[in-house]
Amino acid sequence: MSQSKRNNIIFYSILALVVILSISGTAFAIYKHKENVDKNGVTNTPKEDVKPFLTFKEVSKSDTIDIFKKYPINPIEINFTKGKVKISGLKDKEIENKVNEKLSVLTVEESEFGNNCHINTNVSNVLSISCAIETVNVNLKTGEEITIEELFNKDSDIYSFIVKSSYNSTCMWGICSPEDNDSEYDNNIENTIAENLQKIKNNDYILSVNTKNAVLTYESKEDEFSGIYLEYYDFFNDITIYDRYLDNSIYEKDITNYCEPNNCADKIYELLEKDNNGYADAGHFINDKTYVNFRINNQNNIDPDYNYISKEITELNLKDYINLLEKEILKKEKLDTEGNNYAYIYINADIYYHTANDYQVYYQINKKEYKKEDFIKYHLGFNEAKEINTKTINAVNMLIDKNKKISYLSDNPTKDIPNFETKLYEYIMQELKKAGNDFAGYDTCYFSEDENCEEKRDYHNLIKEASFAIDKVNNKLHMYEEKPGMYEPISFVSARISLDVFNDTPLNVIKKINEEEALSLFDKKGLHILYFDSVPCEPCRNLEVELDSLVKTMNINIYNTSLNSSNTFDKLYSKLDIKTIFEEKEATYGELLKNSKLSPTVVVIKDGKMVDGFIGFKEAEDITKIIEKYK
Amino acid sequence: MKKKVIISIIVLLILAPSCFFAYKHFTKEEPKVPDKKPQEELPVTEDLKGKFANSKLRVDASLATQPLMNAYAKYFGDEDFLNEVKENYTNTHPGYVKLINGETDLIVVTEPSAEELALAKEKNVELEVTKVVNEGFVFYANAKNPVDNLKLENVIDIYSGKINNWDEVGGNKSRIIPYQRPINSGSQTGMLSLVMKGVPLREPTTTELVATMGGIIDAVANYDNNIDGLGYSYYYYANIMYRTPNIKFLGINGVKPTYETIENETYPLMTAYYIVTRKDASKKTLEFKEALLSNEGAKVAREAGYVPIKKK
Repeated sequence: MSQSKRNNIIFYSILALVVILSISGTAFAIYKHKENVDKNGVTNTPKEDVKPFLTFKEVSKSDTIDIFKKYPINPIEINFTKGKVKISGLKDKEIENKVNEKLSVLTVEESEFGNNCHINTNVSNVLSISCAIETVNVNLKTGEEITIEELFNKDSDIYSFIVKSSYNSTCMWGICSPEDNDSEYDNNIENTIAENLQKIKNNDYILSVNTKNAVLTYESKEDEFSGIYLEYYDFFNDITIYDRYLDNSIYEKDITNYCEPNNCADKIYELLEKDNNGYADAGHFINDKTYVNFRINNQNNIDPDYNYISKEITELNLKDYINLLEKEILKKEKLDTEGNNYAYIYINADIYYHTANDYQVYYQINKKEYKKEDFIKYHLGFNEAKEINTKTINAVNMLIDKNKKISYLSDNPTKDIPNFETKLYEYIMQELKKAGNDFAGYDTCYFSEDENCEEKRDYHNLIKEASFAIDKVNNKLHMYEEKPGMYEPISFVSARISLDVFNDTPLNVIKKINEEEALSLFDKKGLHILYFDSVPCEPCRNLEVELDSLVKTMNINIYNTSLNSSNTFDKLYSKLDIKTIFEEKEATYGELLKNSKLSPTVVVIKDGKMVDGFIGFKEAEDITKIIEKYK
Repeated sequence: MKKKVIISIIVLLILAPSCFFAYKHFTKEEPKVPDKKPQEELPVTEDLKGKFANSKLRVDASLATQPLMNAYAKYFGDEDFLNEVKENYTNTHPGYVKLINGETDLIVVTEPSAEELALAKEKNVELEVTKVVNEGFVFYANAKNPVDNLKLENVIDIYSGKINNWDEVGGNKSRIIPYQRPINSGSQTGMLSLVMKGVPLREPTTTELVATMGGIIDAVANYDNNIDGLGYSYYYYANIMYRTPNIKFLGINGVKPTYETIENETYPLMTAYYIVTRKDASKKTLEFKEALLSNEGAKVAREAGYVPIKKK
């Protein structure tokens, strides 16, 4: 074949190939296009004129809620008199009249418990007051009523928020479980939400603007009301109600009080209520990322063993103590938060007399860490926000004196008590046999599926885990242990144990005891003398002198309990079953003490039983003869 | 050489435009149906409003039609009538039984089943069954999902487990998450009777079994940064509860579920709700039925979110 011929063949082959490829390529492209159209094409559909079921007015753009910011509490007077609600304190009297006219729909009803009205919000120039079901929400800047749209922002998807909130509110009480196979609930949920949306469409609801949520209340059945709760924590990037009307110039008085969104509700009422009982709930940010809530608990507790100093402390200005204690505790416990986490620190404290001059502070710290978004939600009231870490600390050894100087008891106060662990363990074992004892809550088996859980509990571990402190005033050992659980602790022990438990050797002084301790003498081995006195009682004072001398020379335990105390001693009297004759009548010592409160009365207890006794003054020599019989 | 160049140019000049025009011709979009003028609303009077307030009519409804009956009761009656009606709701089957036994006058429910028809026959009762609203069964997905339309057979294949990935139906390379509803829920029953028709549903994973509408919204609307969800419901609920920018309704066999396509029944997955009375119903009952079927009734149904049947 000639070169020229060969070239022609090659040329025309290439040309033919190009033509074939082009045609094939085109055909393939057409096929692919058709396939896509086939799958995706929506044809022959008239353009839908989509009219949403609910429409919302457009609002102007505004800043959104900042939980770290302090917002001003409106410095206005709110009066509930003559059946009406009225405010005063705005500079612009025309607007003030406008607001009062709007408030005039509310009817105030008085009762022995107060009136039927509630201030939902009074912050950031927003005012919302409810009396029974009726509610008025106004902004104090223009006097206009607040609408749902104004809670949110310009581009907020309000429709979705309402649908979502409606669902959450319907399912609030846990009736919408995924495991629930009851179709009634599934269909009823959708119908309930449909009804809610219809009510909103018909404007058939009452809006209530609160500090952490807004509620749409509507009548679900005759005289029955339900609410859709728009929780701010669900939409915190869209809530503008705290910032929308901010303007400090509209008031006659200066703004002096501020609050953060999480505590505005409390702060508003704190300012209104004159009889503040004095204990401060000082929740605040201590830095950008840490919120501390410090609470002193022992306000109204009544414990016959202890003199609570709450009353005294309120007179001494509780707030100073709280600030000081909070600072000290945070310094000591080093509660820094790692990295980008945010933290909530709860501190609960109880304060007791330690000696006449100082107070002992128990505190429990609960620290929870969150990522920023979850922290914001938690701060706005979402209790199920996801925690990253939690930490619990219990401490019982801090002291503060009347000059507010802080010191610490030994971290290991029991180290000088001989055979401490052995004796404590024996004591615990004895106590566990009694109903209602202090140690039954250790590693509680309430949540355990192990049948042998209770048997497996090791109280040696409890002794290792617990915190201890010595209470000199009352001669007691304080013991504290806790393991927090989700809703309640999975282990909780708080006990006050007489230090006598750790003593084998007799005391060299007459020991003052209470009824419980007196009763415990009937559980012990050995010889014990118990005498009852009262005030005034001169023979008692004289007898004391005699007994005092005996306690040292005879090396015996002598205890004293006062008939002036608030105890009834009934259980104790039943143990004093030896009969005697007094004023020609026969009765047991117990009966005589119960009926006549004779003092001084002395009883001798040996190995848990009363064996002898006497009433009235006796000299040391005579007392010795009685006691010698049983030694 | 020169000859070859000329031939090449000629071939290219013929080939390129030919391929281009051929492509254009065969991929031409079908002419669009001209947009319908919005249906001019006849002015509706309020002559019948409140007319049945003291009528003492007894009515009942299915769970799915309760909102509709509430709207009728409130408009044609009053608040007291509405409260009375709400107190006495049972459901579809008990409603039919009550009607057949003469314990109720009028029910708005789904079509009678074979069992209900047999019961009527047994009791020598003739039922009048009149369609009052149309209802569609809709599928929805995330608005960002590139898929706009599914063939009905695709839907069945997805929910029976044959198709598992979006790219098998023209979408992204990702797994479909076909959400289901609990057994015996209204939507699930609709899914079985209108869509699957005997083809067994795939076993849902725990994630896919979303009990409640709130969960589905979060799942499909991309609140978890996941655009692969697919859900279903009746048009009534979807229309008033799922109209968010993050969710779109899918076309089935090329037809999107809209008010119009459900009204004119061009949407392929249709059902309806009916006014059912006894043939020997009282005059008052029949008047009430007429009211529900009137223009006023249609307006009430539309405002309540339903699609009343088109008046001929």
